[in-house]
Amino acid sequence: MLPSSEIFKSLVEFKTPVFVALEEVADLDGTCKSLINSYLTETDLIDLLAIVKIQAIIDYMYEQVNIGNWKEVKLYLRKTITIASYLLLLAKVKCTIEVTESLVKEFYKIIDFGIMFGCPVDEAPDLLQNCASYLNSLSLLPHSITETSNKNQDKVNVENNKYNANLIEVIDCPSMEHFYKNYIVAEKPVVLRNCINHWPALSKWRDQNYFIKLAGARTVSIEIGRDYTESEWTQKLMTIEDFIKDFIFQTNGSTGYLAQYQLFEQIPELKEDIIEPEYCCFADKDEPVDVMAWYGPKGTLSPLHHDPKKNLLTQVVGEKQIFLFSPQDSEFLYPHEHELLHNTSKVDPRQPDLLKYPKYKDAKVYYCVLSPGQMLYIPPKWWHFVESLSISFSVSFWWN
Amino acid sequence: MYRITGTNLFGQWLEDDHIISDFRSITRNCNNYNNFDIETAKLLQICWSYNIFQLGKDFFLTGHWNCKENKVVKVELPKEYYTSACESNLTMVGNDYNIILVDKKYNFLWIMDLQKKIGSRKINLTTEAPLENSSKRMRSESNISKVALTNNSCLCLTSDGSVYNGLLPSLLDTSHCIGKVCDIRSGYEHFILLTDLGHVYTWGNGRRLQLGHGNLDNLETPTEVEALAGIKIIKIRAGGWHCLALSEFGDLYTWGWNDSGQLGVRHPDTKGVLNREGLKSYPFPTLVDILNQNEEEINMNIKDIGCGSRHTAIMLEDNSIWTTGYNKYGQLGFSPELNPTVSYFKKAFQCEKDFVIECGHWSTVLINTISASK
Repeated sequence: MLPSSEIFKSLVEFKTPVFVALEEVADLDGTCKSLINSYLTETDLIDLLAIVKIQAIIDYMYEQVNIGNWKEVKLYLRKTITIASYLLLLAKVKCTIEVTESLVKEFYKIIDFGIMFGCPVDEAPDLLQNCASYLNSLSLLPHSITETSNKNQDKVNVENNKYNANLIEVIDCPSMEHFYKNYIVAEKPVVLRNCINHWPALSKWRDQNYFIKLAGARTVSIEIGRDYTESEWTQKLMTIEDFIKDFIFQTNGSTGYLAQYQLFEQIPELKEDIIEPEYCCFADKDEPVDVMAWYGPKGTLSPLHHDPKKNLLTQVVGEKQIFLFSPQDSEFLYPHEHELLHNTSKVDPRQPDLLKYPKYKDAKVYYCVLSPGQMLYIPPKWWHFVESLSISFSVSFWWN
Repeated sequence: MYRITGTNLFGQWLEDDHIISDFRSITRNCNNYNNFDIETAKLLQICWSYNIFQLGKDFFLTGHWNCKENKVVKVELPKEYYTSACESNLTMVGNDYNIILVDKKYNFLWIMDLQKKIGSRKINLTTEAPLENSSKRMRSESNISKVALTNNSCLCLTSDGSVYNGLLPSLLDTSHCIGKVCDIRSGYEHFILLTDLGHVYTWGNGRRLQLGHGNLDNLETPTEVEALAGIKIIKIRAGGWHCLALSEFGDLYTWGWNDSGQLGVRHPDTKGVLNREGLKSYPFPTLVDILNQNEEEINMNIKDIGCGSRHTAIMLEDNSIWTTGYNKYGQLGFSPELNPTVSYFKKAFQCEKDFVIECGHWSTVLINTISASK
């Protein structure tokens, strides 16, 4: 195995832009700023005590970024987490003699905590991702392959009309113009077929071991519980390997769902398996497209809700059934009263309680079962209910 | 005399260990600052990287100062305080960015920037007010009795029981509160006040259940915690995202975020919100039971309480100290390696008599009330 001093030398090479990035955290308090500054300036000073102090900065910043609404947290606080996580990684590598398996796992935990709670610094937007890619290139971890792979992937019997709903139109890879005019402008949902046949993900992601090999030691946030409106619903940080073993292969406990997760920003290697659909170019603003991963066993559920953006929900592995309703039918769908859940309906379209929600009978139900290789276009504000019928991996593209 | 457990990362307690986990008695006088005797100095506030002490008419910061650690620094006061014997009218509060010298007699706040270290901005509370509404200005016949400062907020309590919000004081409407306001406390983003009739009111951000009204709503005005109505509360504390209320009968109620076990509640059946760590956060004040190692309930009154950002400490009538919550920096008085968090109150220390609890973000301090009053 590579000596830690070699790893340290390679990681320190990412330092120069980080130093410039200190300007981006100029608003930080004097204590944290001077500590970060001194360790970054003189990496020779880094010792065991530095680990304690840098960890304390990360822990304190973790408290700071938990204050107020996540989306309004000041960026310099999150950037500090990114920079301090890089420093902590440096310090851990420098203060070690033997790079053991458990230590490598700890390196990835530091990186992933930094990616999840920090945010990119302008000067080095992929700082922590690059550190992870570098560690990946050293192949420091053995791979444990699980034999149970592809079990539970029984063929789903698609019974398209069991809900007596209007089936959503399915078309083959439309021209840009046709899609724009008849679906984007018309705000009409449609299933697109044969648009992503060239994605490497379609074949690679069918084997769950692929994720364990590529990123098993990486930490992600998993939603646990039936759905987010339930009181026992919670989130948990765990490694991808644990998630796959405990929730994808094992299905007798509670449901675990890697939902609405920015997996491709955290693990750029996975991004190489997918290609952003060209249809996303019909945008009102010049903003990047939000690419989210949705990975889980059979039975994951997103209750009926709507989002403000355009959405191309792309099915890579397994099947999902989806109910859609037009925004014009909102009055029949009984949204929750609380402001945090006002975009979520109380009705379960699989078994609507018409005694409690009598107006639902006037809603026009659209339905489809999405299979691997298909994409569903969900116009902004359209209500959708999504349930996986097998082990499923979907990628959503959200844009304005 | 001080006994401390928790962070000493910046030498703020003049000890060599950076993490103290044993309620250590602090006796060392500062050699390089012969005026400073920590045993007789009065602790005013524990900030994240420094402490503020008062000794006679002088104010000292210990810990991190001007890019250096292990410092003991005498704060330079504005000129007009050089000579006059005004120590009893002055106090000082701080956060990560500023320290504020509070002149309680003339109702001035002197705001000093920790990084610029020189100069100060003077705010006269009785003449300055938000431009749009002078009726919210502080009344001149009353005096400041307490200032609660965090990085994001500043609350002022005055002798007539009024509460002002912000550095440019703006009167907070507490006219509906039953009794006269006698204490105010700030969490990271929520606030709690107590009246002399024992009623408790909260406001601010409620997204982590810290307001105790059973929901996630944010509140702009102090709103009575109804679950405590009818119970006379005598002490309140605010942690980062949780609250404590001690009743006249020595019962403790806690509510809010419980990510580290800071609520110390063992009610598996009480309705709560499960969090990432597998503990439940409680949206209503919840009575805390204290159990010993054998799981037997301890029927002793609680006489003092304190909380840091994510931990809680209490003192029972036999002077034993019990702690729960986040312990990564030793703030509970247990080994951080063995107990990074503690989910329910555990006995941490047997204290002598005449001590009170004061907590910093990541520390628990026991203060001897007899030597402190000297």
